[in-house]
Amino acid sequence: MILYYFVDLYELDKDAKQRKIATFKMQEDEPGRVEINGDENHPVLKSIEGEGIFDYKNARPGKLYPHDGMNFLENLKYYFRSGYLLATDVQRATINN
Amino acid sequence: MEGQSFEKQYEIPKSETGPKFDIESVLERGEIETVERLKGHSFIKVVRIKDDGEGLFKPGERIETTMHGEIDENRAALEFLAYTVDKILEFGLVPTTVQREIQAQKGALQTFVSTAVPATKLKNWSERVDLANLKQAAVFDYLINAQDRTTNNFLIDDVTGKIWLIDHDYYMFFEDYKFSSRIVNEARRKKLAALSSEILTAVTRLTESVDALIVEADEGYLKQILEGIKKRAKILLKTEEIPMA
Repeated sequence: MILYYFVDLYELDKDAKQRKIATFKMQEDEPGRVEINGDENHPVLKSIEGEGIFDYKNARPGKLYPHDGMNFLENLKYYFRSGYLLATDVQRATINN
Repeated sequence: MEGQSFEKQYEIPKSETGPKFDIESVLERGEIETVERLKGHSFIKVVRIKDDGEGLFKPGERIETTMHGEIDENRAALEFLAYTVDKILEFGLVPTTVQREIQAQKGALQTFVSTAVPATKLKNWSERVDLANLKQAAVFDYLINAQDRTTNNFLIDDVTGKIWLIDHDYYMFFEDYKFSSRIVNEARRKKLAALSSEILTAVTRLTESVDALIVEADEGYLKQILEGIKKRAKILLKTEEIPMA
């Protein structure tokens, strides 16, 4: 069994209906690699990969990117908190080999 | 109490008619059809009001985990404070916000803006905004000392170029991240720092109201924010421009 961590990111459409736009997933045995499952052309995902996100948790200057692993995952919920875009906490799950 | 307004707290004068008043009435007293908690870390509910669209509800007191540990954040009070300041300035940047009790929980109910999207979703957002509106938004962010105006924390109507400012919470007001405001930075980059007579009039109006708001604010952190706004309003009136960082 492989343990992995993930964060879901949602957006609201014009009718205020929530829709998942991506899942950010990191395997425990690959801590420096966050895989993004979603439409790679979605502007929010392109923005994350291009501009990164802030480090709210540690209040450090500079940006975090998917290659920052758990630190990146843990900050998504602070970066996306408006409702128009909303991220979950880091969740854990397992998959069978 | 259902429909009670934070305005009792702040005694903001408002006209008896007009769009703002109507929207406030709808949010305060409109018949609620459904309430749905959104999936995600932040506690937000979509409230559908019969024949009158949707609002986003954020509860009042809530324990939030931050870099300083757990804090007792009254997000509703902060959201309403931002709306109050915007209302006095008459900039129309913050979606209409009222206090309402929903499902036995007091909080802030804010108009859901269906015609705009987070700036993050737009390529070259700064080329799509109305420049007069950008300048007003920069003045607002300077006044509140916005700490976290990322492209997720403002919306743009891509047809009109109108800006809507959202997410006035603990992170926006208090965390000394130095993340600052993308809007202020963009206004400076576009050389929009000089203030028009209309904006100076608006800031003057704010300085005439802010002492009353400070007296009426029932929490120390609200007073602290308002004192900062007062100080920065005086700087704007003296320099007639948004100071460089």
